[in-house]
Amino acid sequence: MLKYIIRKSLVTIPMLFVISIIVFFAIQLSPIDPISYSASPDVAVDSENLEALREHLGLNDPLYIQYYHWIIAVFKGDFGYSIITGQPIAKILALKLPATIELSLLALVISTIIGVAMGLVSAIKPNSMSDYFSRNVAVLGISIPEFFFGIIIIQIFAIQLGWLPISGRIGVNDVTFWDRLPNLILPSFTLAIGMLAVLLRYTRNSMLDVLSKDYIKTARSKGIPEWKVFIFHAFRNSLGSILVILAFRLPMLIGGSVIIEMVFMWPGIGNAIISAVSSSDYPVIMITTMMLASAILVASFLVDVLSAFLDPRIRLE
Amino acid sequence: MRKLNSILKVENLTVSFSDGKESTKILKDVSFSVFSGKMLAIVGESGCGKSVTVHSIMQLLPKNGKIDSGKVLFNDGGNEVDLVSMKKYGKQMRAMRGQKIGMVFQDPMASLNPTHQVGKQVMENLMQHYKIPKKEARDKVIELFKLLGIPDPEQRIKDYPHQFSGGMRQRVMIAISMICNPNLLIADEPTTALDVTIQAQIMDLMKELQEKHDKSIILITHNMGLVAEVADFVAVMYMGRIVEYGTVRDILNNPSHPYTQSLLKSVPVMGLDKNQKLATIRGTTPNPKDYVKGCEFAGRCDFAMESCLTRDIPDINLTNSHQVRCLLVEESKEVIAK
Repeated sequence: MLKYIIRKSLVTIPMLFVISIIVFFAIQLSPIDPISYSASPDVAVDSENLEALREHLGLNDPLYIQYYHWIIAVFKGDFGYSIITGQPIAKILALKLPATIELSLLALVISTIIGVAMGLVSAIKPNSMSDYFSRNVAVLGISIPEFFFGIIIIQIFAIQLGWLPISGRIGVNDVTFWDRLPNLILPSFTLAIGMLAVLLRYTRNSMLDVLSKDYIKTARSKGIPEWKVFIFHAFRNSLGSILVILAFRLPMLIGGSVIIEMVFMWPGIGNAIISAVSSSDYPVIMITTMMLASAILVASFLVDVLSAFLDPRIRLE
Repeated sequence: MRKLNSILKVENLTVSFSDGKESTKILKDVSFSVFSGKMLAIVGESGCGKSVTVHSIMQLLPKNGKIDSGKVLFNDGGNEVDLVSMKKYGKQMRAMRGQKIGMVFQDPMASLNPTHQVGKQVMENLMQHYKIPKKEARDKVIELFKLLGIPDPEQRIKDYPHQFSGGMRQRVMIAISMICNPNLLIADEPTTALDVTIQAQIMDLMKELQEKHDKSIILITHNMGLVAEVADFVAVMYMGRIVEYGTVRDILNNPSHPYTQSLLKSVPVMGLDKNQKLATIRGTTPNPKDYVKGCEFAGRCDFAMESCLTRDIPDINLTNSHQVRCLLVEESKEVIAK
């Protein structure tokens, strides 16, 4: 098992390099001239000044030298500076990332618990009332766009009923997680609903698939109670495909929260990405893109390890 | 011949399956007995209801299958209980499954849980029915593995199904069904998915269990050659009915139903002239949805008479042990009587 994990993690490293190369060179293809942003107008009047600045910043070096400098710096933890605000990118991340992680994790927990539970109930009694209900929830969750759902629940729970705050993250006296929770509820539910729907469908389908397998009949032929058949035999064997969905939704929760963060004025990484893209802040774009890509790599690594853990056929190969 | 005690009596079992709109009778008035310490083979083409019969006994029919009427009387240590009257997943029925009646399924590749260690899968049955410590259960499994010819059982109980060959998996499956020492074993085509040499090993094993350990076995097969070798009693099924029932001698020496006769004719024999065509049964099995009055086999029968299609067909006792459901037999009996 350990060997398997090491082997899988070794594959991840070259993948990261390939991604970093793609990110770096793709940005170079864009027509942005970083100098025109960072130089103040009175300096920019003289093209000689610009040329000097370019030389000084190493922008005249061949691309592979530039890439080399960049990747070494990134490895040392120096992510560079935003060319718009001049802030170190590491500081921006330290500020915004916790907000997004908080939101995404809560959404992940909510959607996993509710989605898997509803999927299980659906699969155990297909075509029952609860199954119809769950399936309708799933269809709604998949078809209603998140931002629209967000606007609706703001309208209902924040404006009409006034139970929860409309937007923002931290109020004046909010110190602990519990203080922040009211602000978290609406955005995390909005973020959870789409994923909940997908998980519900997957859990239901994969449970129904497993329940039709011969070894379920074998389990029943031993006279064990039905709940044991469902949990130890059926659910245990459908976990694999559920976990794949779960792990691959992980990075999507971060990327997917971009819109939700806009709707709820959530000061997270999604907000940072949007403002970076709209102002061509390319060092920030590069780092955030790298971050999302790494998140996906980590997720697929997690999928590999978890499925190996769950399925001896993979583990013992 | 000593008096035979029946361990299982199936009486007028009728089962239907529904496709959501209409329901179709798959078993019609099936009755037979399984005798203590004997092997009953149920033979017939695919789709004739062999599997449905044994799944009904265990109440393991799929969701759309339903037992309409009939009784399954099981002799539980002198106590006769009707399995049909029990709730499908209720305590009573579950106490029968695995503990009193063991079941071996067709495809050992698919009928073992791929994510559980085989030892655990066998132990699960034992520990469901007996409150014994884990260690003791493990020892019992190892002992049974030894008996069933699984080499190196101490190590192998920790392995997963995919690490076993087909024949070994079927032995594990037999271990699951045998671990609680049930008196009745149901084997639903236990050798169909295995290659020929392994088939023989598994059948020898089952025969040994039956003879040495005095088990009663219901063997489902469509292999007539196998029936001749191992069975004591034979039930021939066609389209959800038992058309002929008797001892293996009755069936092989005096096959009385035209269907049984054609089945026996279509068994390939070693050394047969390669130019000689193997006999086949003309036509195909009709759709069970098409209701036929009279004999279901009439459409494919070489001896069919007009009355075969119009009359109700009775079960005729040829001898004490030999029954057949055919008008021809009735007629010839009448002729002899006259």
